[in-house]
Amino acid sequence: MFTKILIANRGEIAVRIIRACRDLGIRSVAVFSEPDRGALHVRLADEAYPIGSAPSSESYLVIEKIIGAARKSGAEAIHPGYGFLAENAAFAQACIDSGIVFIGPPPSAIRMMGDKMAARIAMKAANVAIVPGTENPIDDDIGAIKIAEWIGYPILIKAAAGGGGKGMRIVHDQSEIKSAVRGAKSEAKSAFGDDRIYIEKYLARPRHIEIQVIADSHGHCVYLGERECSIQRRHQKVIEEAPSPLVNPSMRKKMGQAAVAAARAAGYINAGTVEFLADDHRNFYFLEMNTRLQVEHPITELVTGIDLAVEQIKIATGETLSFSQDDIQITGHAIECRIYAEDPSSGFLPSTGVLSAYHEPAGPGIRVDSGVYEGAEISMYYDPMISKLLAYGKDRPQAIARMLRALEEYRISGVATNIDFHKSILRHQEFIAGRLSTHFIDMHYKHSDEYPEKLAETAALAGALMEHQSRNKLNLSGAKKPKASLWKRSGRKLMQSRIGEKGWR
Amino acid sequence: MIYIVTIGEKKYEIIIDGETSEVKVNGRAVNVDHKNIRGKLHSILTDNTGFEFELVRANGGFDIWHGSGSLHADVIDEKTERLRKLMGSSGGGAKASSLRAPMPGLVVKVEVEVGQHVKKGDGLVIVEAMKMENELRAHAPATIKEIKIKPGQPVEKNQELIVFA
Repeated sequence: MFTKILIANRGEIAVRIIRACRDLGIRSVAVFSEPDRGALHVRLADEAYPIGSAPSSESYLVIEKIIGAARKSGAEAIHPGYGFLAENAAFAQACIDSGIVFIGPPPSAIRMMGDKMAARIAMKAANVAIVPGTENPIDDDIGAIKIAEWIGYPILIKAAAGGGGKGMRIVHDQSEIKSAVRGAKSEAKSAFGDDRIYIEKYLARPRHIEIQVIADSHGHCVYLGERECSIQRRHQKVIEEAPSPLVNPSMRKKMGQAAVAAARAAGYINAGTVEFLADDHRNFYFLEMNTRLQVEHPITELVTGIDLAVEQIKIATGETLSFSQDDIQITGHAIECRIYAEDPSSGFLPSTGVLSAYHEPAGPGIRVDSGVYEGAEISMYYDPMISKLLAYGKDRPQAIARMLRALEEYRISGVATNIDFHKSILRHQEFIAGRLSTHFIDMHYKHSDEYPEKLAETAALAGALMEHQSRNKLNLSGAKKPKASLWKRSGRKLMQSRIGEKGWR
Repeated sequence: MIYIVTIGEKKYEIIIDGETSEVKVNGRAVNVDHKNIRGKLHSILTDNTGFEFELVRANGGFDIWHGSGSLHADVIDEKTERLRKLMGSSGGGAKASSLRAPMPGLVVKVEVEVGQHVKKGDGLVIVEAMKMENELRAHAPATIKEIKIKPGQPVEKNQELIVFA
């Protein structure tokens, strides 16, 4: 086992991994940019090393600085978390070249799954269903029209090097195809330096369902059930749950086996996630594989009882998985709400500021993975996620009820949050019925600026009360002294003449 | 003392006399139990229903944080309210004459030109912050008088971006 691990990340995920290290009796090493000197991950780690200024391109994304800090601290391994360098094959290779263990998959697997088109080819070869479309790059609109006619409109044009919706275009008919191809190519070129694009069938109302897999370096690979992440806003997951309300045991087994086949085809080791699109008839298609620990991994931990971050570290030391597929049981139901510093009343613009009051919910079935504390600052430099709020229950209704209770208990002042937005989704009858799709928010969510009357009235009352008290205080402290009687004034004069101006205030 | 509190479109007349535990809200007597938890954080029980607020002084009133967000309460006393009415300004103030950056970031794109008329909801400027592109939209119909920023330019919070005619 390692004695010291460096965590090449910040925020809640750095804190999560520090905790896994402590559980295993391993010393943790944090790295931090200038504004993160007082961040929670720096406060909780055993050691911490500065790695540069605020922009991540000058700190958290600089491979040499991270490796340098690992060398200096004597860490034997690096955990990349998610985001930043987590899916950067060159970073994984640089770790290996420096004699440091990269806690994640081999660089070859990262590279293969990072190229969306190569991944599609490999999945097809492994007999995993892929979204209908092309396996070769599209050069021009003539080629694109041919393919589109074959698979049928609407289609989706995507960047081979893609991610995050960049270089992505929906095309409804032939008239749109020319400008879409040109737009997608130039956007892909500027975002990834690679203008290869391909075509996929655009599924009307898909559900996003993903399978957690975990593989050791001795050829064992196990799936840990699914997570449904259909509640998204602008390709950004907002609410996730496990198990999916759609998936039944036979579908779970089919998806799980497909995911394991995908992982094996990539020569995958460590924890990974295979994402699928599914329709309401329980057909599913490979979308992509994420070669890292996912943001939403805790819901899988809650329903399987397996600590994924701890398992990742054990696998990296060369240990054999301590469980087999038959040992995996899905028990109860877990939901995650991502709490973002963003303002639903102004079109979800990110909100920055100091968390002037911050109180996390607790109680039965609640877990909060956060990287902040009262007084901490949400800055413009990094992801606006404040925390991941998790609720676990014996079944879905109990998990929803507990989540609503926790959202009610959460108190955040100083930045706008999406807490009320979460409440309105969780109370929506379609969500309660489990009828989800990636268009759920567009279809069902409507922002309201109305406050509950009792809240507004009490707030008004509190405002008046504060105003009243501060006016009274002013009066008492003498800014506007009430006129004293003539008697008192003459008395004071007398005193002043006796003891002198200085001693009397 | 009579206070007039405005939240959004709604007005509340609040009478506080000596004892702060008995107040009147729009003519209705309400029992108030107030406890300062610490700093600006207050627990309020109105007729035994519990609320928690953080009150921060801002723009002639308070920004009131209620746990999952904030609202602004304009607080004035009755005399000032009467004075304002006499002077013809109802306290609502002039409408916004410029677009300001709601957060620090980088201007990615300016979507309008000087002289252009925009409708409520039209996109004006795209600002990148926290790795995301955010479109700032018009809150009301207006005409663009001046554009004070260029694509590629970093902006501070509250910096004036566009001036409306």
